[in-house]
Amino acid sequence: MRVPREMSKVRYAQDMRFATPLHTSRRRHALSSRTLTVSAALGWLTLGGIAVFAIVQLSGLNQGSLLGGFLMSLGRTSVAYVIALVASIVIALSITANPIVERILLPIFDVLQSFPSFALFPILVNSLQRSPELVILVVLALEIIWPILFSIIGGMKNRREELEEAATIFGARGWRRIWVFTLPELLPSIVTGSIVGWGEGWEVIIGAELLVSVHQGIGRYFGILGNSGQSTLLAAGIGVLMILLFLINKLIWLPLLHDVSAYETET
Amino acid sequence: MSTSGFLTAHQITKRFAGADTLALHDVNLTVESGEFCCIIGPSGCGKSTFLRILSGLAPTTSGRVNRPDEHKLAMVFQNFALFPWLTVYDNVAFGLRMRGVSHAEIHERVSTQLAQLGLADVSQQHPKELSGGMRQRVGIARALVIEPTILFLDEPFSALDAFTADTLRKELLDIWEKTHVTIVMVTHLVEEAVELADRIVVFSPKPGTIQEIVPNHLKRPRVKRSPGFYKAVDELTAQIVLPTA
Repeated sequence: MRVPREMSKVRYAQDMRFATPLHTSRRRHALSSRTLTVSAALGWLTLGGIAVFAIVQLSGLNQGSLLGGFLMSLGRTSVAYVIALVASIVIALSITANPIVERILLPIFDVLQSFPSFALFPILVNSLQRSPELVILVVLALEIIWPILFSIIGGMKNRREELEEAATIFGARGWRRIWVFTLPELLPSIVTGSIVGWGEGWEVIIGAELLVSVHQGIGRYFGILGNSGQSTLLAAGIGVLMILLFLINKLIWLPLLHDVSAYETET
Repeated sequence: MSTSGFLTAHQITKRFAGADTLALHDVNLTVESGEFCCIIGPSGCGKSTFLRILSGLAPTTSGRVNRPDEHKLAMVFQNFALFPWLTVYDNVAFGLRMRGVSHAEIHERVSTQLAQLGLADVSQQHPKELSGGMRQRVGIARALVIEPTILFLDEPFSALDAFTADTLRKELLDIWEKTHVTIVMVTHLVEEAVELADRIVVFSPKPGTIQEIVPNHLKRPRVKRSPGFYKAVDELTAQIVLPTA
């Protein structure tokens, strides 16, 4: 019997969908595991939300200044993180591709990473007077970049030669190799470095927003509270910030770290 | 030496950077199309290095290798070398995707290969979830799915238990008898070489060089408990030179 063209397309799509069948029990297990993860995330969000609401209500913190400032600082840290991440990947891949360049640059980077980024503040403020946002971004990115860069370089040093050879003999070359092989292989190192870098970024942004006159930011808000002697409100604000950062770690970084553990190679 | 073979290595010499001694010295070998060739020798004699030179994965210090279509070479690795972030299906499909094969063809070829090697039920699992034997099946499927002209195997059964290794050896023989793909396999087990190979290349160490090439005239299927098999194993074992301290 002749199968209509559209019907054969549907059948093909169904075949593709079930090309790699999951056992029903495995699928059920995967679903229940996902449901548990989502439920746990919602639980933490609710608990965190209640805690923040209670602190704000009891202390009398200005909700707009606190949450607006937090979101502004979150945005700055996120932009700086993305810049540092891209730069780290490009630098790490470039220098490890050439042993001579690596031998020259690694000791230099090692010295630079111990140099406090705040020490550059006077120079940056003078040279970028009209753009306080840019000053903060540069200081932040310079702080975040080192843990990510060194973690990626460490990951590249520990790569398994057999995996490299498998990628080569099965045809992974050029840019495509970076996308389908190198980056997935390095993902555990990228996530580990990112967690450290992200934490250091939050340490720096509070100070940076205190030093540079920005319109809004959590550091700026804490500065106002501190300068006006409102110590109780300041303590409450720090408490709220700690809860929010804990939630980001719990809901984003830790699940990501768990997921990429499956990417790690066994020796 | 004849240079008319399917795969030829001519006066291969290899010295690793900073090493005093040569890893390989003046190695010549011709492998014919459809041949099953085993390379044996003690640890450190350079047989794996030579395999990588033959496959194009490692450069020579001097000498040259003539091999057919570079896009049709595949390798099975000692420790499987599966990509841990990919499922079994995606690991097997990797080589085809890199070669720009259409989705429909990838689906058809990968599904067939998985079914042939008994991997269909685990196609969505990750390598971490599989036993050693199943991982090596995935490694073999990944290599065979590209329909290679030459299949290189680097001690493919040495990380497996004896029973699994024996089963996979038989499956490899079945595959070779059906496809007649040219196979070059490194092993340190004399019995394995005698069971599988048409010709056995005996390497000696320091520097790594071919000591002898032994044709294997035992009729297939080979019975491991036959007097002829024992004799071949004994003769070959006597030729292997162990490295001096």
